[in-house]
Amino acid sequence: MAQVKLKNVVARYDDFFAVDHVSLTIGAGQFVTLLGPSGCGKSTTLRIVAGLHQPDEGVVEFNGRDVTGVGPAQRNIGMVFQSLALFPHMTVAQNVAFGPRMKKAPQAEIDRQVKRMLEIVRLDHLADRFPVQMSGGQQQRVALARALAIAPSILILDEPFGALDRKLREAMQVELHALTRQLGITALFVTHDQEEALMLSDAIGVMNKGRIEQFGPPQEIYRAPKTRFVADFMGMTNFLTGEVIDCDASSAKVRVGGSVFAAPVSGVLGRGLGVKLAIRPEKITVEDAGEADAASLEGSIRQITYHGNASRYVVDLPGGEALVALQSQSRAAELAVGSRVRARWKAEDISVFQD
Amino acid sequence: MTDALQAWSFKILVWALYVFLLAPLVCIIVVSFNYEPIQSFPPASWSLRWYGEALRNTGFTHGTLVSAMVALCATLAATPLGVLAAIGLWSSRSRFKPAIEALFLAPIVVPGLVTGISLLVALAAIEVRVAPVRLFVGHVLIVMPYVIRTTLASLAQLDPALKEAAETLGASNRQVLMKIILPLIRPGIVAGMIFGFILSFDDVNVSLFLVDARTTTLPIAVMSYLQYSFDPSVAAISSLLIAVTFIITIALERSFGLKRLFAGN
Repeated sequence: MAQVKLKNVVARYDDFFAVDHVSLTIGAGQFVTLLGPSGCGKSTTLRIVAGLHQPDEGVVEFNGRDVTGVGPAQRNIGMVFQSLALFPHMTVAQNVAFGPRMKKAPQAEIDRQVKRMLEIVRLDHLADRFPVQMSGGQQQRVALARALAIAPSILILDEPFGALDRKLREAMQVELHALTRQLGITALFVTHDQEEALMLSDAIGVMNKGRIEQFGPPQEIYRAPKTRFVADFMGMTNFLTGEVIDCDASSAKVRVGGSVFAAPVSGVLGRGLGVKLAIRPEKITVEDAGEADAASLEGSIRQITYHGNASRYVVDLPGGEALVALQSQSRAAELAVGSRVRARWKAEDISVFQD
Repeated sequence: MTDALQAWSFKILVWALYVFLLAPLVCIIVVSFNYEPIQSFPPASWSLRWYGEALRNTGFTHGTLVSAMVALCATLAATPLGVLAAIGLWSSRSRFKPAIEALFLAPIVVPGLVTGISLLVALAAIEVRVAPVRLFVGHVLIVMPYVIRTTLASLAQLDPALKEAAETLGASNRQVLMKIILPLIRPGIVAGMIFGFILSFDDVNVSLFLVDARTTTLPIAVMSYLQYSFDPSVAAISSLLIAVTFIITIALERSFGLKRLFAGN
């Protein structure tokens, strides 16, 4: 297992920066995910690590060795492709044996490795099948076994679960999590699915417009997003426009419409500064409009949708903005479209971003 | 009601098409069993004598040999060239790629007569006046575009990630070609070879200018024979060709599955 490092890597298509000065360290045995919307540069970054794309600038290092100009065949990487790219004319066992065979391993060694890999992904009973004769989940596991069979320096996965249905995807995520931890594999994973990223990763890099906006452990990315983009992408989808009226080193008072909210901050913000307050839908409580108070916002319900374990409320605010709140059934069962309601939340659930 | 009408008229149309395509073949096979020395249909009396005549006709037998040799050599030479050209085009990112592809496929579009005359003049200019060599060069031009076209069709269906997957697993360019690409596009290559071989064997237009008195292909031998005599030996040799083609087709269907060959994969 290797440590992989990107230093100021740039990939350009004419004037467009697909990857814009990205630096990234993947520790040995670490599972790192690049998370972002399509077109954010995450796939190109992954292809640069794999050696399938030459960066225009910057350096790629495996264990401190510069491999920037080294082709994919010499990098010793295991890659799981979005399309899986199983060799259709080879059986499962032949697919898994392909890597060791190319590395000129002795036949006995190849046989042993194929057997071990197929046992790990629990497909040893299907070794003589062809890929077309297998289900999506089984094909996925073959792709994984094939990539791992060369004992790669790093395992690279390019949105491998995108084509699977939800249930199978969750099963594969659990399996991949167990497998990578069990084998202590260095892995680079690319996805646009934040839940998948949170669940699998030791560290997440959230990418936007070719840059890594924030890099850190999943808990940190989820709880303390550093930029508005990261907050939005991690599910903090309510943004209220406000103005700082008072601030010290750890908390600020922000006026939104006629109300004032306390919010935690990490540095002093100037008075009069325009800011956005970000709140997760599930952190907002919606209740019957009672006495006006300064720590809530009044509005009227525009839409209610049922989500099984919760209901989702869209609340129009007087200033023209709207809030989305997600909460469990019982608490607001009598609310109907058009009801006047109060939306409130706890100060610690707010993140403040400068406008 | 209208649906049933549509279904029926479609069926009738399809059968009419089959009749249109196959009736002449049936006709010539029937005529070949004629006893009379003229190609009358239906024959008044039956015999196999024209098969004997056809096989005794050295123009036909020699022509068959020449045609088979030329088609075989041209196919064997054009196949590696065509496959490599197709793979080169497939992996190229040049902006001239469409132009180059059009150029490679041009012999299909250029009238055979033009190709034939041009080759005759050009080859004479470099002092190549031997008919077998001229025929070989001309027929490579006939076969190659078909190999390129069917190979390209097969390549277009390949997931580009297959190549990359093999590379990441440590395969060199040559190994990617030999172990991944070639096995997967083989149906396309074989289809192109068969198609090319048949068209080469069948060709009149290009060959017309490249043969000489001693080396003549079968279609040209048949054509010149027809200018002077109209006996059923021509029908007999044609029937033999139909039989051979039929047997090859069945054999290919059994071993490869022709449908798969021509669909690309």
